[in-house]
Amino acid sequence: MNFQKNQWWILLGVLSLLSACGNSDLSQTSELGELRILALQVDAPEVNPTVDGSFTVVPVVSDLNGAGRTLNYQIEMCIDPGVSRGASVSCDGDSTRPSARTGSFTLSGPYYTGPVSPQNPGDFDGVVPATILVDRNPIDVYNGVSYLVIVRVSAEDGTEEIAYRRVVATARTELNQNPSLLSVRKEGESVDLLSFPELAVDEELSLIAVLGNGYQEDYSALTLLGEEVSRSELVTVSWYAPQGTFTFLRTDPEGVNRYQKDADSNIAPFLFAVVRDDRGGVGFLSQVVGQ
Amino acid sequence: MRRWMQNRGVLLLTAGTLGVVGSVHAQSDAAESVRPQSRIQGVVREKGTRKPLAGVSVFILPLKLKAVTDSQGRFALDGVDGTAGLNLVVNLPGYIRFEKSLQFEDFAREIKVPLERASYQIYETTVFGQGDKRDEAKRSLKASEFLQAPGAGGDPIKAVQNLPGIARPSFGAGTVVIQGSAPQDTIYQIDGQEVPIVFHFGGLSSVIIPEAIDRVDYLAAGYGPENGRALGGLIGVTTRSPQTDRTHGFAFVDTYNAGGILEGKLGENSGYLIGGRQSYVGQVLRAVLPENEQFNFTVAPEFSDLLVVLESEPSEKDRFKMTSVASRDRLEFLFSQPTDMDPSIRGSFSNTTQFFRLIPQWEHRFSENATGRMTIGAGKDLLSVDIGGNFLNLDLWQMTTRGEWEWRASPTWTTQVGWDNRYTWSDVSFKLPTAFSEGGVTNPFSSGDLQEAAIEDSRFRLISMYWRNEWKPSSESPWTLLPSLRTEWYSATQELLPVPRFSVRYQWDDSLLLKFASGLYVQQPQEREVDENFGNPDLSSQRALHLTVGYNKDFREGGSRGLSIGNSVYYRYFDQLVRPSASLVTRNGSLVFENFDNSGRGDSFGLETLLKLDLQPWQGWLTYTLSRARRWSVDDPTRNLFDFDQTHLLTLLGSVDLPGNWKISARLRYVTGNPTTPIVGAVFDADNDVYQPIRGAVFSQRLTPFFQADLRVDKKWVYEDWMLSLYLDILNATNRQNREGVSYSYDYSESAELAGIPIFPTFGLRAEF
Repeated sequence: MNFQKNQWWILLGVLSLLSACGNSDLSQTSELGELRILALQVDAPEVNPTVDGSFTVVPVVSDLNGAGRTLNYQIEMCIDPGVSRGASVSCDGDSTRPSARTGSFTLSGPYYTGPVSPQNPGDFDGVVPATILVDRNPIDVYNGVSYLVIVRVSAEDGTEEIAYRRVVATARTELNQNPSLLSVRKEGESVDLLSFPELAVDEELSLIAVLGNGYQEDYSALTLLGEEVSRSELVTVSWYAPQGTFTFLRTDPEGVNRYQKDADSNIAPFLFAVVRDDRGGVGFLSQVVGQ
Repeated sequence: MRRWMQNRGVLLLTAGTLGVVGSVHAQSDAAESVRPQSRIQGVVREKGTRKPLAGVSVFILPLKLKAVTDSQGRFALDGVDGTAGLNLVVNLPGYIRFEKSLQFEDFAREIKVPLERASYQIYETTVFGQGDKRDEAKRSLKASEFLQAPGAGGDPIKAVQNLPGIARPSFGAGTVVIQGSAPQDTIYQIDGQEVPIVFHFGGLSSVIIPEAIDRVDYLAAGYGPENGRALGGLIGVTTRSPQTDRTHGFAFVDTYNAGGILEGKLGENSGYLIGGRQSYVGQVLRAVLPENEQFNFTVAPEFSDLLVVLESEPSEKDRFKMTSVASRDRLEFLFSQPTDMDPSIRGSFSNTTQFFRLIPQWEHRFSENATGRMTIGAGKDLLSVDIGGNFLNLDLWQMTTRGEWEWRASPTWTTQVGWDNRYTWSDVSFKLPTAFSEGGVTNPFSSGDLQEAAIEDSRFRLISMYWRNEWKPSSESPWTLLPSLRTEWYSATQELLPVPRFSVRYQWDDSLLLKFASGLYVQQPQEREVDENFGNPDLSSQRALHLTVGYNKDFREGGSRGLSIGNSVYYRYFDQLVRPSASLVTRNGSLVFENFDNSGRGDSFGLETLLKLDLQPWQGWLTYTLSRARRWSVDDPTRNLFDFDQTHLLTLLGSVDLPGNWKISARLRYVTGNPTTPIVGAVFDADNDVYQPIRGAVFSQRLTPFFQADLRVDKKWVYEDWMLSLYLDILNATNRQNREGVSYSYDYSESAELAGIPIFPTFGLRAEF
């Protein structure tokens, strides 16, 4: 193992990452406004396709500046061509894939951010084919083979957002469940119960996301040599708001974040949070301070 | 008039003699009882260094008595009758004239003659391309050149980057890119044995104290059969022999590290040298970096290194040298919450890199015409990286062995047969996501598939033998032909590969040498790339063809002042380069990712020029490289630029020695901006809350050209037994905002320039005796 070369690769990656996150002039991931896909939740992040490979996708979309305009969706599903290893996010190479579904939807105000329902029933439903695990090596069969879901959301002005997620096909019997986000609290009190007018311009909200029981699951995986190891999910809460600033754009489940509204704003802050485990599980919650 | 002056001098001397002879005659009685009054003896040493000066003429004037110093700088003069008006005079070219009036007590003691050099900032000359006449592809820098090279901070490897053919590295890269080859295609050696890294902390400083280095060599296209396994070339550091005339010491302190060397005699025909450094760069960074709520150092970056050299000549035919080198880098920091760009980067980050090598070297002369050499490099490499629970731990034992038997068969034919083997035993454990990078753009760590394994006792053997020949048609012939053959065997790929090399020299006249070199070069894929679990065990070795032709012309006609030029062109073709692959293949009956394949191809070609002008006290270098480096694959024959393609690379170095041991030097550099790949969009990875970039045409754009001016001022104070030096090395003296890269917003829709380092002064103070 020539570690000089590996060290170069690792340190270069970390250096580029540090350099990238040091620029405060660029727009932040927490800012809501333009058309964005915030999450793709599925009811079954992991499936055992030999038992039941079905799942339903729930796109979570924000289009605050669109103010309720009509948005179009297209959804495609296929066996993952190897996106994590550099393959394009595309289903074009899978001749067995189901045909793409299309439709339109609108988001409701006043924040135009939230989950989307399909125009046509079943558009967001999918089935991981049982053949996905055929001929795969035992380690992949246990750890999972990805089935790709690609969602495109576009507006008439040509704006388009593309997101993808994986539904993991595995032979494991204990399957991953979505984490849930119950509330966003300040000092133990849900922020929607706060009295907004009392939030002064320079006051900071110290926020913590309250997650449902069992949000952090333990699971087993096989190493590349086939040894079974235990792991705990890595859970992250992502924070969004149309105005104001967060101290952290993401926090650990127990992490305390701080939020300060814009000085010139007199509307109640709208907060949106998404919780993810690192196996595709997703939960989300929107709350308006004082409402 | 001149005669009158001479007469006046004689008159004054005579008067002085008459005046003092009476008063001192009584005092001389005591001295006479000790030894003959007629003998004056002493020792001539260089002021500051105390180096004995041999072969120096010492005069007693006006008696015109003369003595010549022996190898220890000692002299003795008999027949000195009295002291009145007598002067001891030493006038050696390159040194300030020494003159001392003799006193009677001088008869009773050893006179010390400290000769002060005219300048202690002498810039020794190295002839381009002839660091070692055995290999025309080798270029060398001596310590006297790299220690005071502006912009290098006294570092040898950074100074080598001034030579043509070496790309300007990006800040923090810590690698040497040779003539369009990949960074991992360069190997690094200390005293001929491979070491894993050459720089501390991505290019901050070399892993060995510069003052203990005799020279640093750079092997480019067409290098000889003694070395291999590197498609690019080689950077080799040779430690110097200990000084054994007496005990020497040296200590320094500068902006980010301090260290020293102690050396001297160790018994008969033996010497030792111990050197080391300890950094405090972390403390400096802590003071400079602003308070940051999201990030803080838990262990400040630090590095240290240690070097021990023992050398002995047990007989006239044997020379033994033992080099021991150890290096350690350590860094830890903490992200208080998941980072903005990638949530998988969270918690603690730590990196420890350390290695040591024991390098015994033995040379034995069997006869006038036969010599044997053998060296071993045995040691351990340790790497530990922890990124928020993801990790890579490597514990590797390595032994490299080299041996050579050289036989001068006739005045026109010299041959060498040797071996160059590498054995490794490693334990590696890791839990890391697969990573994908193309066009200099890396996908977020989060988007990779998490892979975990602990592999014990992984063994690799790389066995090589070579046969080198140097043959002239006749003793007087201007032609020298160098046909050679090297064979490589790699256990990882189970390949036996013959790799011929062939060079020709034509000595046009005493000042003009024409040269041609060519060869095949092979390089085993990295060990992780051929692993059956996360690589591709069916990979083959990467290959390259090198061709180079050039000349060296020395206009100095045997003198030390004047102009010398070296010019060459090179061409390299790369075949079977390892590339990442997302294809599914059937391996052992199962469908798995291929991970890597051999579909990469590439070439590089260029023109290199080095001009050296020596007009003491002025000196200057001009190096220029015009080059192109490209890569493509079997699947996509589009010729893309290579990551480090730099069309123009111009470096101008100049220095002047000023009176009072001042020296001012400067470096100007102009380099074409590195290629970049535009990002034309991004796709949201909803599982991991990151965006994957969509790349446009690979390396179809460039950063703005790089221009930098560096300035260095050296001042030395010379005392009789020691010297004190102060230097100020100002990197980017004009504070130009060079672009080193591009940073992007979370969804790649916005970008901003990533500026290089601003003006960066380094102060240093050193004392030596």
